Amino acid sequence: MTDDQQLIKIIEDGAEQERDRAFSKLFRKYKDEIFVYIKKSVSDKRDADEILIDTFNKTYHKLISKTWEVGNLRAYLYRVAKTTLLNHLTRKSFKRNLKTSHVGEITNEKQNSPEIDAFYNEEHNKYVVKKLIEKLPLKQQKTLELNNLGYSHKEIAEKVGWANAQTSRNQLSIIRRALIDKLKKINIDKLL
Amino acid sequence: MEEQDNLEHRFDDIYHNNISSEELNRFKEMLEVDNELRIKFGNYLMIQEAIQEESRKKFRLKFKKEIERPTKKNIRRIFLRNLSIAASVLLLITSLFSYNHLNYWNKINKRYSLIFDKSNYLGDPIIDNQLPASDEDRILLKNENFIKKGNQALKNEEYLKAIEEFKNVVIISEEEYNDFFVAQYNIAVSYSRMEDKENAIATIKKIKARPESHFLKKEVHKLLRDLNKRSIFLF
Repeated sequence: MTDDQQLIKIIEDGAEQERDRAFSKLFRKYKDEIFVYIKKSVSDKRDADEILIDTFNKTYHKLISKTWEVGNLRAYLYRVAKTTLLNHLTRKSFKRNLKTSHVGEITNEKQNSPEIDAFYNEEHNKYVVKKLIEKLPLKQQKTLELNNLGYSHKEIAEKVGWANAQTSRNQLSIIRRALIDKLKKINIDKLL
Repeated sequence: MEEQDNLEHRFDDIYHNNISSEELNRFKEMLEVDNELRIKFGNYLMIQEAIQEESRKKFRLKFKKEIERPTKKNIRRIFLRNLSIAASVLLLITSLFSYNHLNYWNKINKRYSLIFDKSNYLGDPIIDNQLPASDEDRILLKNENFIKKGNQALKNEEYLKAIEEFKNVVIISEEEYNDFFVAQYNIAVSYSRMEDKENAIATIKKIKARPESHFLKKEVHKLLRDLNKRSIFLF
């Protein structure tokens, strides 16, 4: 058994502290080379840091969920880093398009509309959404988090305790709709 | 509701890059023209980002020590930087101590001046056969003579000669001891001028042992303290 495999075994079977200690060793071992790999494709250091964190975060959850298939951890990390990097670049291009295309909106549609203003104030909205998520029941928070990490609805249902994949999907829709509605209400109340 | 679910499912696929590049491009084209779709996708992205940021925050907190640990390249750089800082500090301290050591006696001599330039006992000593008859006056003037001779020697920086003269100064009475203390003080400081620490300290101890109260006792106490210090620590 290699060192990596031994550590993975501890992460899968051990108590939380042992698990985290084992993962810290893996993190320390591969952090630098994965960062160098990411940095080749991303000029901004902050973006590279975020992608690095996302890579290891996904790996951590994969290992603790015991869905790890026996294989080379290093190769896995590079694969996850590549996927995370591509996702990051795609999302960035989406955000750019959304922002530039909205410039037209403000001149054509009713100006000073609370919905448009609220939509534009991204950082504020994200902050409010984070606060709203904190108030959700743990089950719903976990559902959102696992979906964000890329788990399938079947996996989410198993981990969180929903009846089946469809229930997990429905719950996710309900949660998101409720968040947006609450956010809209908060922004409108703020303006009034 | 079903339509909304399907839309969100599609958003999830796009978010996790689970679609082909053609589908992705088609979606981007739709975003350009469909205002409602754009708003819905914008909201979806905003929620996902908020969740992702919180997830990252939790991870950073959990593995804070590992995240803050510098890279191998930085470790080397930090090590070299720290080494050069340590070397500079060491050099500074060594220079300071060397300076102190080399200037030890200069500092002592600057701090403690001889009492002769303001002395009343300047000028030529009285010749012996011209000294008064009474014992007390005789001793007084004899003291004066010795001090005058001593002061003359100090002026010429003949410290050994000065010490020999000052040693002859005696206490006249319980009330008349000023000359004695001045002479002893000058002996101690003369030894310092000759960089003779041992004899300077011995003289000071003799002065301190005297029962009389005199302002020069305070002065010699300071001199003793400085003489007892290691040369590198005299600031």
